[in-house]
Order: sequence, then structure tokens, then C-alpha cells
Amino acid sequence: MKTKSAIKPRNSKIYLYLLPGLAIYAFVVLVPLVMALRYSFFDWSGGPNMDFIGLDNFVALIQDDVFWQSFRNNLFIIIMSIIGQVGIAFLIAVLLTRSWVKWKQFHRTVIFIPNVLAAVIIGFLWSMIYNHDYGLLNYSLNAAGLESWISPWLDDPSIVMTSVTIPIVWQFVGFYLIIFMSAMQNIPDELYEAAKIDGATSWKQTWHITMPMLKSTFRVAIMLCIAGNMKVFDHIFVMTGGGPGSSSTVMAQYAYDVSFNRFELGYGSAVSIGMLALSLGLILISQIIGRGEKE
Amino acid sequence: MKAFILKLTLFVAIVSLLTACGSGDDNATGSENQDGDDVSISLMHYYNKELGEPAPTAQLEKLDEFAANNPDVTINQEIQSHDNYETKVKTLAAGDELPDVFLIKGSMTQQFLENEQVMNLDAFLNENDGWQDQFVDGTLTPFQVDGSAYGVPISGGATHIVYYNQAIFDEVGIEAFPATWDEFLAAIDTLNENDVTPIALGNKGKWVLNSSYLSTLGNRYTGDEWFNNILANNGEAAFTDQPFIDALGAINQLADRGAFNENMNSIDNSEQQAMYMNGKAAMFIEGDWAAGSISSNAPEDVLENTHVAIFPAIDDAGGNQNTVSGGGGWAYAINADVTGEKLEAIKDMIYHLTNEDAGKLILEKGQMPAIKVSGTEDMDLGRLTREILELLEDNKYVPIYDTILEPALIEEMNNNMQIMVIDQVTPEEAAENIQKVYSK
Repeated sequence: MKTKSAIKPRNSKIYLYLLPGLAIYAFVVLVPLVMALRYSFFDWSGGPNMDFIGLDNFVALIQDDVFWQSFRNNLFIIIMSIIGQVGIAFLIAVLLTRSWVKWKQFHRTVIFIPNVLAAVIIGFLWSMIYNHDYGLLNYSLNAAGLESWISPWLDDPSIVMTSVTIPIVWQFVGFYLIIFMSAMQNIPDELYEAAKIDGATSWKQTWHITMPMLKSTFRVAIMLCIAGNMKVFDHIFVMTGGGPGSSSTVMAQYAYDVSFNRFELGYGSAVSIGMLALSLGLILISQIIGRGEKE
Repeated sequence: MKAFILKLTLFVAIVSLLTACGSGDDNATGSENQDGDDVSISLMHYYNKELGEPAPTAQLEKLDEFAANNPDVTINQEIQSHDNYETKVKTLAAGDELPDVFLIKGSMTQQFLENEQVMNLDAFLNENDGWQDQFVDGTLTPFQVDGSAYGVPISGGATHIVYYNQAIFDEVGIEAFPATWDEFLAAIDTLNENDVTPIALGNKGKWVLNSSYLSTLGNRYTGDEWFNNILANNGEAAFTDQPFIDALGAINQLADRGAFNENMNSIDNSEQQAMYMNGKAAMFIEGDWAAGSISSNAPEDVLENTHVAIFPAIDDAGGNQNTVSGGGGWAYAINADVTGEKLEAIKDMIYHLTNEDAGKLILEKGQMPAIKVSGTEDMDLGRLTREILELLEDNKYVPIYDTILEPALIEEMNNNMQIMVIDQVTPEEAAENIQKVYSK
């Protein structure tokens, strides 16, 4: 045992190495989480005065229309993102494996670039694109003679969610593209060679080899998509501030508004805990569905 | 094993280096406190020299002056950006770690007082002869709870000023700023017929319609009595009362007439100014602070033709008509824990920052001070500043809703107004929604 210590260290040593990371994680995630859970049982506006009110905050939360509306908005973004981000990323990944596509490196880099930009920058960029008077979108529509298509993109409650979702989808396509491309490299070439010998077209190969081989990657991507989009905040905060009214408010923004605009920190914590519970629920559901398909 | 020892040594070295730095800092602050009987005051504010905003610049100059006159007092300033300041002060309050002196908004007074974090300033305001009476009517009100003051206001301008471009008015044949509400509506129609946006509105931040429109219109319809009843929560006033609905209705009327640009909810107040400065809109409505940015940023032809007004009188409204929402914006508050010599130094500092001399400097820089300033005729003021000063002389300040009412209520109001102007709710429905939060 002793001679192998560098390759197979003792358990205690493993924990020792993990300790710094765990300590930081506990400090920035677990401790605040437990504290938020505690605050959610209080009527608290900040400061030393806290009144214990039991589950009242959660009773109010369940009856809170704005909270459920913001949850629906999150769901909308998640569904759009699963179709948009994961779907488009998969299509592009497949295209980039085709031999007739030129400049593969270039395409990959360009598609990935939005990923490294800060969400706030993306938000500003797109609010300029959507701008009514000098925005790129309305300008292009005008130039193309499609004046009738011009809308107040960020001002009409019926389309605002679509308008704010597009930048989010656009930004993260590159991220899933990289995941899919690296997963595709792990598919053995023999499978494709065998398919070719059998006379399968490339789209048939995609359908019958690539798709099934990437099933677990899809599961991970969809889980990342759900987790990422439950906490989406910055893009929308910059573009609309959750407006008009609360029509583009997502849960994270609602928690922020309640905590730091209304200064109901107790109720704000309850909103955050509600958000956590719903996120875990959704991820669980997606995992169960994924497992069901496997069998 | 050797490698492990090496790593361990490195780790220990790094850790000890870090702790050494930490304790080094402690020593430094320790020794600073030891020399002499110097008083050091911690002060948090949002004044930024680089931005050149009128009142903040004046306050910074006065602070430097105070520091030069009082070498035994050290002022440790913590400077935040304006947007961060509000969050920061509330966060510090939540952790009970407020500095000695800080700035508060009217709506924070109640909450800070409940947590016993701000000092009662009644005695202080009476220490200097007649100082309390020198403040412009209505500027102390937001910082008073049950008749006691907890903040000393700095600037006290109006949150409602109509800036209009006379050249555009001339072009479409409007000779003077309308004198009645009906004429005002007619002017909007005329401007629309000539394809000019009548009023540039940037309500993405949600406060513009509240601060600069509703606070003034509300009082015009409801009068003072109603608002006092709302504040007292004595059950004699409700947001579903007809006068308040009418006030919302007046804004709705403007929206229905097409007075605003279509993208009013997705641009902010600086963009509404930009629209106006580009000559795309005939008017915009904001507080007196906008005069500064118009004076320094607007192209010359727009600046020359810019004049100021307030909403004209409304015939069928019950309240006073020569009113404009305004009063204290931010005020100095003192941490309730401060005592002794330090407190005396703080009082001197705050007096120095908010007395008539300081007020004069604020006015010279182009903003309305909270304190009355005499002899303004002889002062060298910008044209817009003087116009605003003259405009405000004839009119009475009424409360700014969003610096006084509870934050939760304000948020509901703001959200409802945002969707009311795009026809998602009627004024009646909006009033009901607001009342629901109020009665909770």
C-alpha cells in the first residue's frame, strides 16, 4: 500500500485535498442557502428586527400571481432553449462533421464567441438591435420593405418574452456546440464505415448512429439547459428590467426585486427557496424522462 | 514523498504570507488611531467628481473646505456609484454595519428608524439659530416620522419639470406653452399631426412616470388631505378613490392621444433626454436635475430654444393647481451609535455641508438646494437654472410619491403604470391593484 501512495492515496489524504474546494463551496453556496432557508421563516426588512412568522411567507408565495407568472416565463425560456440551444447546436455540430463544409475552425470560433461575452454586454447589444428608432432589426426590415413587420419588440407584452429569449439562445449555442462536437469525436469511426459499406446516406448515419450514441450527452445538455435558464437574470434585467409591468420578469429577478427594491428580505428568501425547489423538481423530472427512454 | 513535503512547505509559506499581509493591515489602522486625539468620521456617499453633477460637486468642494478648516478631523469617505449606493446602504443596514454618516432617501427613514439605526436630529436642527426654518417648505417632510426629523436634506428640487423646445412649437404653430389641460391635449394632437413625437418618455426604470408625472398630477386631483390620510393609514383614503383614478386617467389620456414614443418602456431617462436633444421630440418631463445635462450636452440650437414649464392647470381637478412634486431627494443621516466628540465633529460637518453658503454653491452649480438662498438676483446662474428657479417660486412643493411611500407599494404603482400606458390595464384596474397592495 505504502509504495502506491502517489497513485492511490489514503482516504484521509483525499479529503484533505478536497478540503479547500469544499470549504469555499460551503462558504459561498451552502451557508447562504441555509441562511436563506432560515430567513424565509421571518418577516425581515434588514436590520436587527426579525419577526418569526412560520410558514406565512410560503403561503403568500403559493398565492403570488407574479411568482407563478415569472415561473412560466422561466419555463418558456427553458423550452425555447432546449429547442433552440440544444437543437441548433446539434444541427451545426452535425454539419461541421460533413466533409463539404469549409472553414470549420472559423465557424466554430465565431459561433462560440458570444459565449465569452458578459451577459450584460449581450443585453445592451440586443437592446440596441431591438431599438425602435435606430435599431438594426427595424432598420433591416425597413430596408427590405417589410415596414409592416416592425413592432415595439421590447414594449409589447405579448412578444417581449420571445424578444428576450432570442439573445439567450444565441449566446449559448456555441457552448452546446462544443459539447456535442467533443462527444461526436468519441463515436468510433468503425460504426460509420460499416454504415457506409451498407450504403447508408449521411443523414441516415446521423439518425441511426450519431443520435443514439449521443443520448447521454443530450441528457446532460438538457439538464445544463434547465439549470442555466432557471437562474437567467442579467440579459433580461438589462433589456427590459422585467417590464412592461412584470411581463418579462423571471424568478431570479423577482427574488431580486422583492429583496432589494421592496426590501422584504424574508419574503425574498422564500422566493429564492421556491426557485430552488422548482429547479430541483424540473431537473428530477427531466432525469426521470431521460431514464425512461433508455429502457 | 519529497514532492509532498515541498508542496507542504510552499503551502505553509503562502498561508503565512497571506496572514502576514492581513495582520500588517491591522497594525497600520491600529497605529493610525493611536496618534493624538484626532477624530475620524466614516462617511459614505455617491458623489463622483468625474460626472460633474451639480449638487454632488458642490458637496465635494464643501467637504474639502471642511477638511482644510479642521485638520484634527479625518474624514474617511467611501464612495459608491449612484446606482450601487442605494443597494449598498441597505445591505450595510441589514448587517448593522452602517458608517457614522450616510445618505438616506425619504422612503428609507421609516425602516431605518424601526431598526434604531438613525439618530433623532430635532435638537441638532435647533442648535443653530433658525436653521430649521431656513429649509424650503416640504424638503424636510420626507425625513420626518411623527414630527421628528432624521435627515438633513441637501438638494430640494422639483421632480416634475416640462422641458419644451419652442422652435418645434413655433414650427407647428403653437405660440406659447398651453395654459390649460385642454390646450395641452390640443397641442399634443397638433404635434402628432406634424409627425413630431410630443413627449419623449423613457420609463424603463419605471420611476419616471411615478416621480415626474403621477406625483404632481396626483396632488392636483386629490389635494393634500388625501395623501396625509394615505400616509396615516387611517382608512379615510384609498387608491380606489375617484380623484386618484382620475390622476391615473390623465396619464392614460396622454398615452391614448399618442403623446409618447412607442418604445417608452424599453428606453431609460437618459435616452428620453437624448430623443429630445436630437430634436425628435418637442417635450420631455423630468426633474430639475435634467437641466444640467441639457445645458452641457444639448446641441446649441436645441438648448437655445429650450424653456421650462409645469403641467397646466386642470379644470375639473379638486386640488391646488399651482403645485409641483418636489422636496428633499437625499439627506444626511447620523448613525444612532455615534456619541461624544465624534458627534460634535459630525454636526459641524453636516452644518457646513447644508447651510446657506453650501446652498448657494449648489445653486451656482445648477441645482435647487434644500435651503432657502437669499440674493439670487445678483448671482451668476445658468439661463435654465434661473428659469427653473423663477418657475418654482410661484409654485408649491407637494410630496414625491416614490420617496415617501413604502417600496412595495411604489413597485406595484410603477408596474401598473407601465402596463397602463400600453393599454394592458385601465386606470380603474390599476388603482384596484395598487389598493390591494396598500391594504395588505
